[in-house]
Amino acid sequence: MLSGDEILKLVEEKKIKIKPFIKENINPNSYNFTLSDEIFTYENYYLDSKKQNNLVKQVIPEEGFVLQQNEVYIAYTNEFFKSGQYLFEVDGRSSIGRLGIYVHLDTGLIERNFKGRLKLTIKASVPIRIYKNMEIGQISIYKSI
Amino acid sequence: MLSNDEILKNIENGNIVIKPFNKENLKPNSYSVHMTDEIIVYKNKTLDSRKVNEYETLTIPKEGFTLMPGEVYLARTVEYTETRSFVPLLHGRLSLATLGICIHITAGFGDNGFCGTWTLEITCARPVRIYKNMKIGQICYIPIIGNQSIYYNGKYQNQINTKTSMMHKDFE
Repeated sequence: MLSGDEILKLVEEKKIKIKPFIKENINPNSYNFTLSDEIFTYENYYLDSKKQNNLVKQVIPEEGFVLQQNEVYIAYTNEFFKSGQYLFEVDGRSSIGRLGIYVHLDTGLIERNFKGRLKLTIKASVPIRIYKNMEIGQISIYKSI
Repeated sequence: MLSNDEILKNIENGNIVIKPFNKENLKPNSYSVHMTDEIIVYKNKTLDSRKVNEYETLTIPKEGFTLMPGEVYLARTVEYTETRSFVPLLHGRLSLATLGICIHITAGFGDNGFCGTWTLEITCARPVRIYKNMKIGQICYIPIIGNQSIYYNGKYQNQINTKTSMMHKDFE
């Protein structure tokens, strides 16, 4: 796993891309990302893994959005990333976990050559109000051997 | 990821601190940690990530405590750890996962330089009874690549008692 110094170096050397990049969001061994104002839920209660399941988009208002239990929400980061020759791992922040929020289900692995905003699969253990632009998670970065 | 011999070597040279430490808790690639008798539940049905959420602290009696689905519990490890030059990772035990118990929700890794006990974010799939001092998880260590001028100095540094989320501080 790369140190915060190494993450900064890779961004400066343009080996990975984080846009917008804010130096204060660097942690000892990760980088914090923020939640955009869009959140998606499935149209149907019963999903079918063999079919296309339609999503309904909602915009998170100023006063926030209450996540309900037993529901899965899809959201994206504000930040745009390019992983280049490195691997990313998506994780929530400790403050988010302590509120019972999962920001990814199962693996948070982002492979080499990924370009885009990160897709988050959000699940709440208890109902909770969240806000747009909150620092919801972090990526840690690994070297591919 | 470090082997048990490497973990032991780094405890001896001071990069890794685990208190109390008992050699019997070393596994091939990890160290087993235990939970205390303290368990925290939030009081309100709906939480707010921008506010201070009220909570109450319960003590797990000898006969155990039943976790319920649809609830999130905070607890902590008996073990106090300090880690420098490695990233500590907390994992649940397969024996507990087999019972539908998750002991952490996010951020299974600690930051370089973190000192404190580990907060457990416990959820379960079915009602299940847990006990104080039970072996609840394991910590593994992975090397860090690159210079290390940034050490953890965040909201939870030096935590001993279980701390609830301080997310609200981000909005102040």
